[in-house]
Amino acid sequence: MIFRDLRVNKLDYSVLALLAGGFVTFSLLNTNHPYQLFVSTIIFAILYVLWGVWHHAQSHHLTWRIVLEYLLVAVLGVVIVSTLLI
Amino acid sequence: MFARIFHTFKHQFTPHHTNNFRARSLHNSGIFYIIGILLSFNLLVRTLDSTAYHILGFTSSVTIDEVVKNTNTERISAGLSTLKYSETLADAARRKADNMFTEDYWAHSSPAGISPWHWFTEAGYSYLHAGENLAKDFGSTDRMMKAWMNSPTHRDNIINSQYSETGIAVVPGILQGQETVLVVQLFGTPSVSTPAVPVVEPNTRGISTTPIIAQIDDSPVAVEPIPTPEPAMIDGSTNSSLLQFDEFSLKQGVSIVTTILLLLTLILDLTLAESHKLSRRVGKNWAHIIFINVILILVTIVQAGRIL
Repeated sequence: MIFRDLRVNKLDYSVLALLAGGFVTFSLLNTNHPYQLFVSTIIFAILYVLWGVWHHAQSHHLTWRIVLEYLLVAVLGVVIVSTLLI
Repeated sequence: MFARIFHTFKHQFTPHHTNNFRARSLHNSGIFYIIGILLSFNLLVRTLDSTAYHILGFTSSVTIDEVVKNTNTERISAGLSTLKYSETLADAARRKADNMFTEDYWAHSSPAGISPWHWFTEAGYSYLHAGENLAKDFGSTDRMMKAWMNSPTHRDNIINSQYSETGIAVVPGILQGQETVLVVQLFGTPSVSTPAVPVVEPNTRGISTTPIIAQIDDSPVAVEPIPTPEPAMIDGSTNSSLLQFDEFSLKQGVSIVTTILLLLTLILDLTLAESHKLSRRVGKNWAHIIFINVILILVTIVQAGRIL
């Protein structure tokens, strides 16, 4: 039952999974390059926020609170990674 | 007391009427607090590390004999002969490491333009082939060897059939403002006769691509590896202190725990919201789960050390 949202929004989540897969692959190939990892994390975080806006805009559920939520989760991800890379 | 703890748990981690049917820690304010806590923790760790008391000292268990052992294990796996430990090469490696600390650089060549091969000559090692691998900030030999073996250029040095000897220096110190343990591994093939004049400069990764013809010199002394007496640790305190943590491991541990807790909260919130058929206008938990999972993977694979 918790997978219902994934089934309903197959295309959207496929796009996100593709982005995530690409980022993980890039990271695995650059484990010894902290600067590249940090920059790619920021790019992935921005793409994540854009994905959130795109996904919610499609269903006309987009609000500033939702945008802020994606922004905060993205910032949290960057903060977690940056503590180890910087 | 227990009722209060249970209520707080429910409020923070499960959708409930008291938190507008969304786990409080997943509210924007909750995520904001988590960011603040993480930043404060990071600041605290850095402050503790930079105080005169040095509560958080960098520790490393990298030892010379382990590096030699692991290098030879890799060579045997590749069907090559083992490397002999050369005290002359080890002396060159120590000179290089000392120069890196003195001149404060993290590179194969010094800011003054001194190449790695200068240290071979200065130590009295005349070579036909030479190579250099560098590493810093690694807590263990295994992690460091893994990082070298994952890098094609460093791997080429380790399993290069042209080398017959190796020399290693494991030196603690402060490099570019940070406490570290620097590892310099030099590879070489001693010239039986004559002058060591580099024909071609080695590439920036420290791997000599071309043989180097050298002048007559004392042949390098091959000796058994000298074990490092104690794991390297740099700060003013003793090895036995219970307050000794590896700063990177501490940060990594906190990062992993934070992401796992967040993932569990998202899954619990999603499961309960679905089972109660709650309709909420919030961000998608599944999207957050995917994003945080990716961050977790990154946090797990990030290396403490650097190689060059």
